[in-house]
Amino acid sequence: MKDSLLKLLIKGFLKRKISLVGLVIFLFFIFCGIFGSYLTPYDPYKTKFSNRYELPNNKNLFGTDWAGRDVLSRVLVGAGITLKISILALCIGSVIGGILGIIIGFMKNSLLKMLIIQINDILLTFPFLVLAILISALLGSSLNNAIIAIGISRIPRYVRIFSLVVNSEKNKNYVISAISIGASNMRILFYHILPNILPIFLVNTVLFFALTIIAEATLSFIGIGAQPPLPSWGLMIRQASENMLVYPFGVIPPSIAILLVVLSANLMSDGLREFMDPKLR
Amino acid sequence: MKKEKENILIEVNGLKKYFPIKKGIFQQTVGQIKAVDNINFKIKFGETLGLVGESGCGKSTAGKSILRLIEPTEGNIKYNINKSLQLDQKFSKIDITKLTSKDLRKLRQEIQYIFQDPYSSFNPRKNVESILSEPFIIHGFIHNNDLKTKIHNLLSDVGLKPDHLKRFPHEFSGGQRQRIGIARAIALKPSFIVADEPVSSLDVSIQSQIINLFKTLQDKYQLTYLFISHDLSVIKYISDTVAVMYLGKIVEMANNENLFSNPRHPYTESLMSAIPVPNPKHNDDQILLKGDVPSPSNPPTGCYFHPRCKYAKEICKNEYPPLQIYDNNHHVFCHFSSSLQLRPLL
Amino acid sequence: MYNLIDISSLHVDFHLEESIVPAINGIDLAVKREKILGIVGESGCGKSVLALSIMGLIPSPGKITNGKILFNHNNSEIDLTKIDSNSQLMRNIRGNKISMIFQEPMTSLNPVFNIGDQIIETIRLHQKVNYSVSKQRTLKILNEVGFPDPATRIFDYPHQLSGGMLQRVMIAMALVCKPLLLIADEPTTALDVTIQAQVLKLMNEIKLRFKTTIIFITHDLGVIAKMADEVAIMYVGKIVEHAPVNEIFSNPKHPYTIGLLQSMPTLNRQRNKPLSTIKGNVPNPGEIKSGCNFYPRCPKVMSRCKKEEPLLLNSSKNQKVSCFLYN
Repeated sequence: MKDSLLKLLIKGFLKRKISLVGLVIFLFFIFCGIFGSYLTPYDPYKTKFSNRYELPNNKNLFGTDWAGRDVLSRVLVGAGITLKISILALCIGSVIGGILGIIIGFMKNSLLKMLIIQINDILLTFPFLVLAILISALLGSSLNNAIIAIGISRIPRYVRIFSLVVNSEKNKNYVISAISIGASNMRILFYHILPNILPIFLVNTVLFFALTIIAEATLSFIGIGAQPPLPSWGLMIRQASENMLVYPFGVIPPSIAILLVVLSANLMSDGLREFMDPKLR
Repeated sequence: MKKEKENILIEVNGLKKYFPIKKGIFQQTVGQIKAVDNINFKIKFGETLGLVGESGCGKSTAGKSILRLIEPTEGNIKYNINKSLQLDQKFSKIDITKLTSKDLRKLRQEIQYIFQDPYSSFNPRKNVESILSEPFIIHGFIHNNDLKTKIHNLLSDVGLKPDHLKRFPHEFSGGQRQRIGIARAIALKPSFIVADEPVSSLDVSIQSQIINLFKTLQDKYQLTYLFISHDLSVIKYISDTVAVMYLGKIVEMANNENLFSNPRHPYTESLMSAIPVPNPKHNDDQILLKGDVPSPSNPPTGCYFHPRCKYAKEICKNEYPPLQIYDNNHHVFCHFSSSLQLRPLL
Repeated sequence: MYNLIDISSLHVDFHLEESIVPAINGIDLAVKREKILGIVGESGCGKSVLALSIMGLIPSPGKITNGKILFNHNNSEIDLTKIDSNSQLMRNIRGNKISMIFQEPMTSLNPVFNIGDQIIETIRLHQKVNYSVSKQRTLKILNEVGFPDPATRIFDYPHQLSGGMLQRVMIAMALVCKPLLLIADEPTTALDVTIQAQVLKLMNEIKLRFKTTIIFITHDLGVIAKMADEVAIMYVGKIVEHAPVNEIFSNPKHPYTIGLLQSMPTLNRQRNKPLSTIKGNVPNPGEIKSGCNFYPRCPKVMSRCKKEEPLLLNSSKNQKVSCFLYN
C-alpha cells in the first residue's frame, strides 16, 4: 500500500510540471537550510561599518546591509532559521492539531463532543496571525516563543478539518462494511480511515508551511519574533525597511527569499492534487 | 412444535428503530421517525426470507438493525450459533442485542451484510487481495499459511479470476464488484447473510447472474438469507418466505406461493399489480394507488395504509389492525383480510 | 405520416485524456410522429448520449463526429447536428419544440427556486406572454399532469415534494410549450413501483391528449411493453434490433434481445431452475476492436462474427436486426 501512495505522489508531480518547479525550489531551500551556515562566504554577524549599504558586487553578491554585513551570508543562515521554525511549528500545529482532530472526529456524538467543537469554532474566529501575535506577546518576544505561538495558532484549523473529515469518513459505507466483518475501532482508524485522510493532511501541511514562514516574518517584523542580530528573513526586512530612504535595495533579497519559498509550497500543493483523489476517477 | 424451534436460525421480536427529530439550539427531541416499528419474524436454517417494500418502508434500516450496524431502539434478536466462536457468553442460543461489543465482533464471523452499492462499500485504496484477506486477518485465521489458497477458492466461488487480485474496485464493472462483495461476505463461511438490495444497482442481464450466484452459494454453503429488495419479481424468484413492509411495519408475511397466489393485504395486491408485465398484449388493469407514501415521521392514524387503500372503511382510520394468522403461517394486518378477494399475481 | 426525427450514421466520440471513447458508433433511427419509440439498453450502451445528441446537450469532451439528425416540422427539415448548441435557433427548439425529462427529478430541478417559478420561466422563455398569463398556464398544466392541489402548492420548493410529484412537475415543465417531441430518459427508474405506475399512465394520456411524439429510454422491458409502439434495442453504441413492440416480445431475433428477455426474473417462474443469463460483462465502448460487439457473450456466435460487423438490415417488413444469423 505504501508503494502505491508513493507512486501516486510521483505521478502527480510529473503530471503537473509546474509543481516540479516548486519541488526543486523547495529542495534547494532545504539544502540551504541545512548546509547554509557552512557555505557562507563571510561571517553573517561580522559588522563592517566602512562597507555599509553596498549594492551587489563581486565581493558581496547580495550587497551589504546597514551594518556592513554580507547579505548573502545572512540570507543563507536565515534559510536555516526559517527551516527550523517551520519544522517545529509544523510539528506542534499539525501533529497536535491533527491528532486532536482525529480523536474528536472519531468520538461518538455527545454533549462533550459538541462542546469541544464549539470551543474550537470560537478559537477559529480569531485570524491566524492575530492569534499568533496574541500568544507570542503573552509568552514574550523570542524566536522560540514565536515558534510555539505559530504552532499553537494553527491547531484550531487542523482540529476543525480533521474532526470534520474523520466524522464524515466514519459514516461512509466502507467503514460500516469494515465493522460488519468485525473490525475493531483501532483497525478502522489506522488501517482504513488514516490512509484516506493522509492526502488532506499533506496538502494542508504544505500550505501551513507557507503560512508559517509568512507568520514568522510578520512577527519578527513587528518585533516580537526573532530578535537581532539573528538573520531571520523577517527581521532583515524590518531592519532594511527602516533604512529604505537611504538604501532601498535592502528589502529585496530577504523578500525574494520568502517569496520563492512560499511560492514553492503553493506550487507543490498543486502536484499533490493527483495524490488526493486518484482512485475516484 | 419443539422440532420447529430447533430449526430456527434467527428470531426477531418486537424490533424497533426510532430516529429522534431534533430542533432548536439545544437540539430538543420534538418527534420520532419510526423507521422500523415493531417487526417480528423467524427464519429457518437454509431458508431465504424476502423483505420487500418501497422506499422509506424501513427495510434497509431493519436489515442493519438486525446485525446491529445500527443500534435497535427496542426488541430482541435471538440467534442460534453454529460455529465455535469462543464468546464470553457460553450458550449457543444468544440475543444479539445483548452481546458485548467484543462478542459481537466475534459473532460477525457468522453473520454478514452485503451492500446495495458495492463500490462505496470498499475502501478505495485497497485492492481485491486486501479486501478479501481482511476477514481472515481480523479473526486471526492467517497462521495456517494457506490464506492464498483460501482466497483463490473464494475467487472461483464467485466467478472471478486470480489476476483480479491486484486490481482496485474502481477498475471493475458493477457486477464484478458485487461478486467481490459477496466473496468477502462468505470468506469465513458465515451462516446468515443480510443482503440489502444486492442487485438493484446492476444491469438486468447481470442481475440474473448475481441472483444465480446467490442461489448457488446458498446450496453450497447452507446459507440462510434475509434478502431485501424493492423489486417484487426478484423477491418472488429467490424467497421461500416473503414479508411485505410499509412505513416501518410488516403488513403481510407468508410463504412464497401463498403470498403471490393468495395475497391478503391490499398493499400487497397493489404492489403486485404495479409491476409492468413484459408482455405488450397483457390486459392492463392496474390498481393505481392515490397519492404518495406518507412520511415516516408523521404516519396516518389507525392502519397506515388507509389513506391510499380502496377498501378502507371507518375502522381503518381509527384502529391499527390486529394480527390475523391463516393457513401455513400466513400473517396479515388488515381488518378485512378474511372477507377481501384480492387479485393474485398473474 | 412522415418521420419527426431521422437519424443517420450518427457517431459521437468522447475525447478523453488517454483515449477516444465511441459512445455512439453508427446509429440509424427514425422516430415516427405521434408514436412512442422505446429505446432499451443497459449501462454504457449510449442511450442517454443519444438523447442528449438530439437536444444538443452532449457534455464535453463529447462531440458529434459524423452523421445527421434531421428534425422535420413545419414542412422544413433541420439538421440538428449542424446547429451550434448555444445558438438562438437551438434554444428556440429546446423546451419548446423538443423537451426532455430526466431520471433524477430531485437534481433536475433548481433547489433554490420554487416549482411554479421554474415552469413560468420556461413559458416566458419561449412565448411572449406576461406573468399572469404564464401563471394561469402553469396552474393548468399542473392540473393536467395530476399534480395535487396546484393552486396552493404552485410555489412549493423541490425539497418539499416527493419523487412522484417532482417527476410530474418535470413533465409539466416539458409539456407546457406543447413540444412536438418529448424525450424521457429513464423517467421512472428512480421512482417506487406504485408511483411509477401512476406516472406511466400519465405519460400515455399525454401522448393521446397532446399528440406528442415520445422517445422513451429505459432498461426495463416491462415498462417498454406497456409504453412503446416501437422498440430499438441498443448495445454498446449501436442499435442491434428495431421492431414494433409486439414483434420484439413475441419474436425477438437478436441473441442479445433474446438474452435480455429470458433473464428477467418475472418470466422465469420456476424457482428451482437457475435464471437464464447472458454470460460475461458488458464491454466498454471501443473495447471490441473488430466484429460484432456482442460476439464474446453470444450463445450463437459464428466465426464470421469475430471479423465482420453486421449491419442493421430488414429481416421482415417492420423488423430490423443486425446479426449474421439473419443476413
